[in-house]
Order: sequence, then C-alpha cells, then structure tokens
Amino acid sequence: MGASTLFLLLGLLLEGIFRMPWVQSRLPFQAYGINHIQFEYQLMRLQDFTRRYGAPDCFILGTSQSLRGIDPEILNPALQSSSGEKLTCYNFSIVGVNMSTNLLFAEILVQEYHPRLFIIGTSFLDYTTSRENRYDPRFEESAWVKYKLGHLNLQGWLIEHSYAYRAVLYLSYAAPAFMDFSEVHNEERKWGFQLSEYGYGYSDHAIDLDEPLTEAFINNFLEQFGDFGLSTWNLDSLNAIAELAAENGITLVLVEMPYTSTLVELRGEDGTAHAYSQTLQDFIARANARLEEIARQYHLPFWKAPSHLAYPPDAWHDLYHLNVHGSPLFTRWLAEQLDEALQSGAIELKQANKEK
Amino acid sequence: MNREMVIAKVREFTLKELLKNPEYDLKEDEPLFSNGTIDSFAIAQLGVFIETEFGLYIPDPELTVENMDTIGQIADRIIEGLNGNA
Amino acid sequence: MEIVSLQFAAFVLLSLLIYYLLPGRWQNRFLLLASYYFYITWSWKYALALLLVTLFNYAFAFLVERERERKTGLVWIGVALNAGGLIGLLFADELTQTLRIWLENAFRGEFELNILLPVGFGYYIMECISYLLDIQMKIAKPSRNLETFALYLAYFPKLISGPIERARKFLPLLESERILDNQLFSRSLMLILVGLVQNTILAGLLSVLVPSNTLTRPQDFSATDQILGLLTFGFFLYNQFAGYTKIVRGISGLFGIPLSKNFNYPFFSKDFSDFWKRWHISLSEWLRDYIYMRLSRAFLRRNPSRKNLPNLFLPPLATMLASGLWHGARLHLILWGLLNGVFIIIENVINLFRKAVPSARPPWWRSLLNQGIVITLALGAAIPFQLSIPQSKAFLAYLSLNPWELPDFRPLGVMAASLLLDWFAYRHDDEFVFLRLRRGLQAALAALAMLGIFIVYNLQNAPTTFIYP
Repeated sequence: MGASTLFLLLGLLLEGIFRMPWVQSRLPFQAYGINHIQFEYQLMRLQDFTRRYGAPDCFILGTSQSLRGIDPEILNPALQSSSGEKLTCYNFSIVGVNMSTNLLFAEILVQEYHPRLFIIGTSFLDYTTSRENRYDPRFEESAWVKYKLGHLNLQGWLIEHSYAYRAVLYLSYAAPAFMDFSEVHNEERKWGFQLSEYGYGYSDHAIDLDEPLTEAFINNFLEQFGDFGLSTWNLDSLNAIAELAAENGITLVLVEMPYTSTLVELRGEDGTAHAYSQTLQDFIARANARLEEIARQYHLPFWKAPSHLAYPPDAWHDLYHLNVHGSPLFTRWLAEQLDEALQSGAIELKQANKEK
Repeated sequence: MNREMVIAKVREFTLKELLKNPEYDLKEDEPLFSNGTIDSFAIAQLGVFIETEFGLYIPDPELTVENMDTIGQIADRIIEGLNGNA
Repeated sequence: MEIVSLQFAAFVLLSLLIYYLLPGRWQNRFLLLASYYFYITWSWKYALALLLVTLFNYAFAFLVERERERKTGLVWIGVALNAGGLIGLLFADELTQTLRIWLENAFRGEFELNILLPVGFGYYIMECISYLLDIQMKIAKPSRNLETFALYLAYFPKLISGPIERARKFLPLLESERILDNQLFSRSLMLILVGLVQNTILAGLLSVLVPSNTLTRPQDFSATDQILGLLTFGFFLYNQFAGYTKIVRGISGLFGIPLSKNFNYPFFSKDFSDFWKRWHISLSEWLRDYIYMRLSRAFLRRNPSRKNLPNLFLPPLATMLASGLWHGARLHLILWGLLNGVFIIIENVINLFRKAVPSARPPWWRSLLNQGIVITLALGAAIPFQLSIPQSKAFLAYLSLNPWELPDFRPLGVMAASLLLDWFAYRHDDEFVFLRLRRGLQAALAALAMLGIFIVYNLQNAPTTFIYP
C-alpha cells in the first residue's frame, strides 16, 4: 500500500513538474497520442489562440489545400472592415485527412467552441479513390477523440487533463523509430515553424509553372484516381457535416480550393496535354456537380475557385497548393464572397454567443 | 539391513564410481550434486546401483537432486523403499 | 485475453473478489469456470480440445491403475494417444499453414484453413503424460474428483505457457484449504511487480530499442547490429518468458496456490547441463524425468560403467530432439535440439576426464568464463531456434561479410540492468530478496517500478508518425 501511495505521489510530482511554465516552454508540442504532429500542433496553437484572443467563432476545415490557401490573419480584418460583422476565424485544416475525419473534428469543435461559421475548403482531390484508401483509422480510434466525443475512458481522460501523461506520449513517438527522434524532430521543426498563430500553414516554396510535368509525376498523380470513381464515403461525410451544422445553427460555406491549369492539362514534356486530361476534367466536373447538389440540398453557398484571379508567378507551393505569395489573393477573394453573401442575406449568422 | 550397512554400501559406491576418489572422507550430510561436485546426470547411475544392489526401483521422478543429495538421504530413501512405504 | 493486459488485470481482480467471497468448497468450482471462461476468450474450440483431453485422461488413469500390475503396457497407449495428439496437431498446424500459403499463391485469394494447435496444448499434454506415467510407477493415484482434475489441467494462470505442474504435487494443493497469509501475499505481489519489470520494462525496452529484423534481414545491418540483435533476442526472450512466469506465479499465489519456479538465473550457469536446470525448468525437469532418466537407466542396466558409450550419446540427443520437436514441427527447431544435445554430450565426455573435487569452488574468473561460454553457445544455438535453416545460413554468411562498427549502447545498458537485477537475487540466493530491504526503500522501488511500467507500456504501444508533404 505504501508503494501505491508513493506511486500516486510520484505521479502527482511529475504532473506538477510538467505543469511548470518553464518545463512547458521547453516542450515543442502537446502529444495527444495520435502522432500526427501537425494536428497536435494545431490543437496546441488553438488553445494558445483561445487564451490570447478568446474562442474563435469561425473555423476553416479541410486538408493541406485550405491550410495553405486561407490565411485568417487576412480574412478576419477584411471581413470586419466591409460588413461590420466581427468574425474571428481559425484555420483548423489538417493535412492528409479524409472528410470523414473532418467530421470528427467538426463535432469536437462544435461542442467545445460553439462556432457560428464553418468554412470547408475542398476540391475534387478530396473525393478520389486513393484518398479513401489512405484513410488512417487512428483519429477515429484515438482515446482522446473518443473521450472528446463523450465516450468516457481513462486514457482519454489522462490525455485531456494530464500534462505528464502527454509528455509520456510525446516520448513514445520516438519509439517506433527505435528511440531515434529524427523523424519526429523533422516534423516538429517543420510545423513549429510553418503553423501561424491562426493555424495557417506558411510556405514560401514556389514552383515554376512553365516547367512541364514528368512522366513519373503524371502516372503517380493519375494513380490517385483509380478508375475515376467518386468517393461516396467522403461525400457522405460532407453531408454529415452539413447535417451537423444545420442541427447546431451553424452557417456552413463550401469553397473550392484552387489548383493550377498545368495540373488539369497534365502538360507533359512534349508540351501537349495528356490523353487523360479530358477524363480528369470530367472527374472534376462530376465532383463539383455532387458538391453543388449537396449545397442545394442544405441551402449552402458553394463557391468555385475563381479563374480570374491574377496570381503572381511565384504563388504556388506546388500544382495544387498556394503559398504565402498566392494565398492572400485567394483569401481576399473569399472575404469578398462572404461579405457579399452576408450583406445580400444569402447567408445568415446566428447571434454571437454572449456568454463567452 | 540396518542403516549403517546401507550407508556403507552407498558410500563405497559413491567414492569408487562417482567421485573416483576412494580415500575421501565423505560425510553423511555432505551434498554431492547440488553444489556441483558430481554432475547430476550420474544420478541415473545411482538409480541403477540401487536396483542391482538392493533390488529396489526408485521411479525417475523421485530420483532427483533434492531427494538424493547426501548419502544419508539416499540411505533413508532406500530403507523407506525396502520397508514398502514408497 | 492476453496475460499482460488491462483486460486480464480486471478479470483477475474480479475473480479474486468472487473467489474469496465463496465458501471453500465452491472455490475450485469457481476457478474451473473462470479458467474455461478465460480459455474460451481465446477460442471455444480450444476449450473443447481441453475438455476432451481432460475426460480421456481422467478415465484412462483408472485403466492404468487397474492394469499396472499385469504389466500389459496399457499405459503406453495412453501416452501414445496424448503424444500423438500433440505431434499430430503440431504437424497439422504446420501443414495447413504451408498449404494455405501455397493455395493463396496459386489461386491469388484468401483461404480459411484452420487446424490450429490450441494455445497451451503442449503444456497440458505434458501434464497428462506425466500423470499417467506416475500412476504406472505407483507414485501417484488417479484423481477421483473430476472437478479437481479438470482444474489441474485448466487452471488459468498456468494454462497458456506453464509452468508445467505434476499432478502428484498439484492435486493435493488443489484439494487442501487455501491459506493466503501475509508472506504469500507480499511474495505474490513482489513476483507480479518484478515480473512486470522484466516483461514490460526490460523486454519492452529491448523490443523498441533494437530493430526487430536484425536477424531476418541481416543484409540491411552491420555485423555489430547482428550480434546485438542476437544478444537482444536472448535477453528479450528470457525477460519476457521469465517475467511472464513470475507474473502468473504471483497471480496464482493470490489465489493461495503457489506455482513452480520456471527460471533460476540462467545467465549465471556454470555449464550447459546447469543451464537447462535454470532455463524453463518445468519443461527441462519433465524431459529429464520421463525421457532422459528412462533411457539413461536402460543403457546403464546393460553396462553400469560411466564410459558406457550409448549412455553418453543417446539420452542427451533424444531429450534435446524431443525438446526441439515440442517447440514446433520444424526442421530448424530439430537442428536447435541437435545442437543442444551435442553441447551436453561434449560436456559429459569432458566430465569423464575431470576429477571430482568435493566442495571445490572455481576461482571467479573461471566462473565468469564458463558463464560467458554457456551464454555464447546458447545464443549460437538460438539462431536456428528463431530462424529457419536458410535464414540461419544467410545470417552467418552476412556476419562474415558485414562491416563492424560501434554498437548502440542503449540496449547494452538494458541488458546490464537485466543482469544486475538477476545478480542481486542470485548473490543472496533468494528470489524474494527485495522483501528483505527496508520498508521505505521497498516502497520507493515499487513505486518507481510502477511508474516505469506505466511509461514503457506506453512506449510499446506508440503510433508511428504521419508524414505529409
């Protein structure tokens, strides 16, 4: 019995140590037991944000496309200046996830922050077969996610409340690489540097759009589409998010994230469009048609990525991600769209939550 | 057969066949196997010796280092067997 | 249900609670039910196999008792049926797996082909064989009580991986009243904690620190890593199995039923015969009692000389080959058995020329050297234990080709900790030496151990990193 008491005391001591600001400031991020470092950084940034500015009332959801394409630091002031409606958006886009995982995030964010607006940045890339195949069940199976969604469990409780337990989990991330922190460190450095206070994913890497695509890239890219069938599972998840928003009186906006024409044409080394370019364009058209259908069904706006924006030549991180030179233009356009929709009454926001 | 006679026979066998040192002054309670003086596989030899000398079969699971570590223990086990209390 | 899991811990706690609330005569019945429930969580088919084995041996024991005076050799039919069942299932398991892989390759589909060796089958079959033979040798009586006999075979702490208990010692334990005094209680808790330290912290750290494929993919590593991988395998296997046995002994102790010791600091063996008295003791003793001694005595009856050649060679070979086969019906395990048999033969021959010196203790450097030799040889033989024969060949070939470099010292540190833990108890010749420490120190060590177990348990279940561009 003495040992158990001591064990508890030691545990409490550890907890105390890990709660000291001095120790906390030396930990790169809080580990939630999933080892998706951008996600875990994102959670920590969101908590910092909330402490500093209060809870955001608008979230941007999506994948790396919206993470790199929508910068709340530009969106928020642009919105405020024109419509007078004060909205604080936070970019909670998580790289590589499926729409079904975004649904989980949306549920957690609804419970925790009672937002007024969700902006989902999406594109045809979210509905390919390979996206579905790359689904990783770890988010869904995570003890913390389960806990947050109301399924009580000890591990989830510990992750949510214990700083020491999160430190243990952080330590555990190195274990699969044989206690070699290099992989974790690389990811850590990358996201520690790239994620802004508002959750935006900063990148100043730029590609040359005139460069033809290599055969290997094209083949690789086409492989994502399998037999060009739409991922109904991800479309259904989008439906479910719309449902969730409607139930909670949250306004939902769908916006198509931009990609380059080079990508659609699949212009190869010989300078001509690839034979599959037409098939790809058909796929995009079908995906967008389904998105429009969902938008109609739930009375949401669905804004296609504008083709008239004059992006500077160094605006692209790669063929379907904007970078820090391209995202301001897109973000400002998005702000205008929102503004217009709010003023015309096309969308309405519920009253700001006064208790906060 | 009394205990002294049994011990004498067991001692003679142990010194000659197992220890190969007939001059050694082996005490009744001196461990033979447990401290590694004799390697324990020789215990099979002891079993066969008891069979031929005393006409007593000690089953293998009982022919163990714990049961047969000193000549005193061995003699006691033999007498017990001969008296039919096995 | 795995033994080292929270689920099992809950099962044990709940069982203990019910067990001590029940009156004495209901306790065995409850343990039997709990044991079968535990086995069914693995598979109901396993439980059915156990039930059949139990009923057969329970009934057959009476036949053996009736016929033993007439020397009809009836007992051997029972032994053969038990052993044949085990060997048949070992081969069937192996064959169906091979056939399944072959079918899957040939027809590019998935095939369900299941003749599986039930978990723990090898352990309780050994118990049955010894039970029948002991009755034949008149050192045991058939159990009249089917419930007790069924519990003897099914008792859940020892069901999956032993220790192999003998009916003549275990049945009386089950029939007597359970007394859980302070000593047994504290010893049991200590065993569980030390077992968890070995099984979770030491074996767990070794499994995360050293790549698991150093043995199977030697081409990707240096010669140093290969040796480190082999050493790690040895220490991992030891700490995992010895730790496991300590945990189940501790759990069983909490029910007031002590189980036998299965490991006795094997890394401090002075020679190979000594090693086998210290490693997986309950199996070694079984093999000694029912194979080695039987053969050895048969040869010695014809020629009682120490220099009896068949006696020097055949019993060790037969025993170790049987041990190899017991571990699985595979050629490389037979080779492993053969190697170990040869080691013992060489030792027996050397012993012929060694003069027995009563009570002589070798100097410390000799003991250390001997221990080193035993560990090296045992690990060498462990190559074909863990790897198939072509894999073993590749391992040795790459060992001579691969470059040498500075080793990773972290796993070596873990192994040193493992040796230190063993040495502490070995030096005091007391498994429970930790209970002799001062109370405060005991509590502090136990608390640290719990914290370590908690942390390493998490390390072991760590997810791999998601990496996106």
